[in-house]
Amino acid sequence: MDLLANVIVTTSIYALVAVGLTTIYGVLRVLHIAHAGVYAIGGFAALLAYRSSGGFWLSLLAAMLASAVAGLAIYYGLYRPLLDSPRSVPLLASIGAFIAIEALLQRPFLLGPSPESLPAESGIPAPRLGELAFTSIQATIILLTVLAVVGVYLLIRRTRLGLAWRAITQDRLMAASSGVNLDTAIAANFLIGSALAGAAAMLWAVYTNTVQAIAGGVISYKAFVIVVLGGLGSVPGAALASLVLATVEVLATRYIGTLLPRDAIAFLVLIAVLMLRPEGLIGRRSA
Amino acid sequence: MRGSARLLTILAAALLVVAGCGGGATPAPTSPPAKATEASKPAAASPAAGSPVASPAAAASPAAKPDASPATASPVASPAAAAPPAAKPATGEPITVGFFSPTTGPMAADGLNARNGAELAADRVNLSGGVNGRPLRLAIYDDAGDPAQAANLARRLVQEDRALAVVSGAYSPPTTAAAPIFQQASIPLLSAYAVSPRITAAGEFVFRAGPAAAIEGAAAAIFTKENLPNSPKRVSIVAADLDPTIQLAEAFKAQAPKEGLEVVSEDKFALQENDFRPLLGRVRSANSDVVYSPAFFANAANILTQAKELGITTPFVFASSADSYKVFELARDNAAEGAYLVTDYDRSNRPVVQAFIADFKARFGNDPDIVAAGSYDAVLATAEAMRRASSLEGRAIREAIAQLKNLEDLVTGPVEEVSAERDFVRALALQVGRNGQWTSFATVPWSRITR
Repeated sequence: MDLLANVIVTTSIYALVAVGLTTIYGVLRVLHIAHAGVYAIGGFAALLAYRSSGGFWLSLLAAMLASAVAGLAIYYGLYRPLLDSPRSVPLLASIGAFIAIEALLQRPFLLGPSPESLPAESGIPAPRLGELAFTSIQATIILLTVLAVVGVYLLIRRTRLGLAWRAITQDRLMAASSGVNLDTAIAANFLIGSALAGAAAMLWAVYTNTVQAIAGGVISYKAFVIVVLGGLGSVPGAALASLVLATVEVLATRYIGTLLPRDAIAFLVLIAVLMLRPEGLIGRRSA
Repeated sequence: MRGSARLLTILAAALLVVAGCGGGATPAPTSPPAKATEASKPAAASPAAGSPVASPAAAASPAAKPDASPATASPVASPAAAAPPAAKPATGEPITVGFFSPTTGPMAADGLNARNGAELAADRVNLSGGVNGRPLRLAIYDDAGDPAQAANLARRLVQEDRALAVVSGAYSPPTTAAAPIFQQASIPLLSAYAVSPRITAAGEFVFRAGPAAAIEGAAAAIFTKENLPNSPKRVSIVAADLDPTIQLAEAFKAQAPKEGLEVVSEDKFALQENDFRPLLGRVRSANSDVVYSPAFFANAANILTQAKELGITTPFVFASSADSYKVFELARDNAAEGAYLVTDYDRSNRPVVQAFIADFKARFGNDPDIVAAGSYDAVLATAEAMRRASSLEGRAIREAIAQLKNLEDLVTGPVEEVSAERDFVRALALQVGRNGQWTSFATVPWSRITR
């Protein structure tokens, strides 16, 4: 039963990172590699806030805020000037930004090269549903993720901002000429997606008691796998793909053992899905 | 399907890049073998060097005398662990010794500690007369944990810095990549703590100060059988999926039957893994008496914390790769109390060790771990060999290293001699986590391990 809790928590973290990534891909058609850097910045901000306040929620807020600011800075500083260049240009810029952020965070005057511990307590009681027991942090992660994913989904389906995103996703120029304020809509997208990545960074850091400058790499390449699996741009698809990947990973680690390292499984799943359903689990055929 | 083929190509490329960054070999393209050559100040400028440590063994030792030759060296040959009161700081033309460690990338924490250890040692050497009056100058490079960068910097050390000898404060893969280059140039290389057998296989110019994987893994099996409570029989192995840690696991497995141990399960995890809960569930169902885990310190802290959370009470034995105070810092709820660690860095009450810990802490602000201690010792041993060498030519230094004997004052434990396989012969230690630090628990002599 530990396993089920494990699967749900892993799913949650993957979903938080992937949802931001997939909506950003939707509006901008950029593979936002620097999302990994945004994630790492969130962890760093959480650590600073935790060290000065000791509070869980304040640290979470700091992580979301710092990541949101970092995401916005990347949009305005990097992607916006490159909006009309071929899509490989912002991709390269994004890779560069990620590497720079990671290297900077490793400097001793920032986060430094060592992993640091983040033993924050959310105060949410550890629930038990019959056989299924969750620790406090597991419950916190699951709760926050459900709120966030449902929130983003409603935002997209029910608000003018969501309508604008959908319009931009279909055709950016057409949307602009129909009176959608591109800049505001895309910036809002970065703001929200990055804040979610910051939240994920903080929550995973507490769950594993590890804050690291290089934390963004592994989790965000898995998020890319998820984004593709779920159908590029689809929020429910990303959530479902997070569940699929987390389940495969956790069960394979538990029962098959490490024939393959856990992280390689993500790519196996990706290859399998690309061969069988190149449009992703939920994506529509032909874009 | 407009443009989807192109998109997938770009995506695949992007994933490769990110995967490359995320995986073991990290980029640090921002720092091409960043040359940070730095003359270790011969003067008493550094705070640690400013406080000569009273070490009875060292004070009585004649090692700092320039004329101590390998053949006639006294049984207690101390490689300048502390400056005898009379010794003068070295002046004269500096002698260049190369040093490299991963100060960027995923191993950067270890790399910085290793470099700090080496610098502390160089200052020690220089305060106590240097090498026959000439100061040691470290030419320091960053290998970023990347074998390709290590090979590049090795060529630079040979061609540009004209290093007379080199100390590796790096892990096995970079050291393995650099070793043949020094071998070919007839420049002695002393690897501080890397365990891979492939390192010394490069040839007669390549030495190892720490234990090889075969030795350390075998010692772990011996300790497990002889020193752990309740005489365990069933062992689970959980290893980080990296060359040195896998080698340790293999060595443990090879020794286990000789000690009457049965390896009942064997698992690997990625270096950067930090959620071990599914893997620990698997270990629990193997129903073993003890877990041997060659892992890195962050892995060890996570494993211990999460095992405690899952209510697993099986004792864990870690390898020298996890030998760091950071295990206690990162583990929650005192989960590292009672964990075991096999290492050559025995934190005993030997005065040299206590002095080294105090000096290191005063200068760098943290406890020295195995990589710091190992690099410190490797620099001291190299300097000692240079003092004893008939000349400062590569082959003469090589011979002097091969003939080193009875280095009593190395902080990673006294070295009896250098074996035919060019490994330093020494006892290994079992440490246990107590009151937030690694403390001495047991030792096993080299002769017992190689029996």
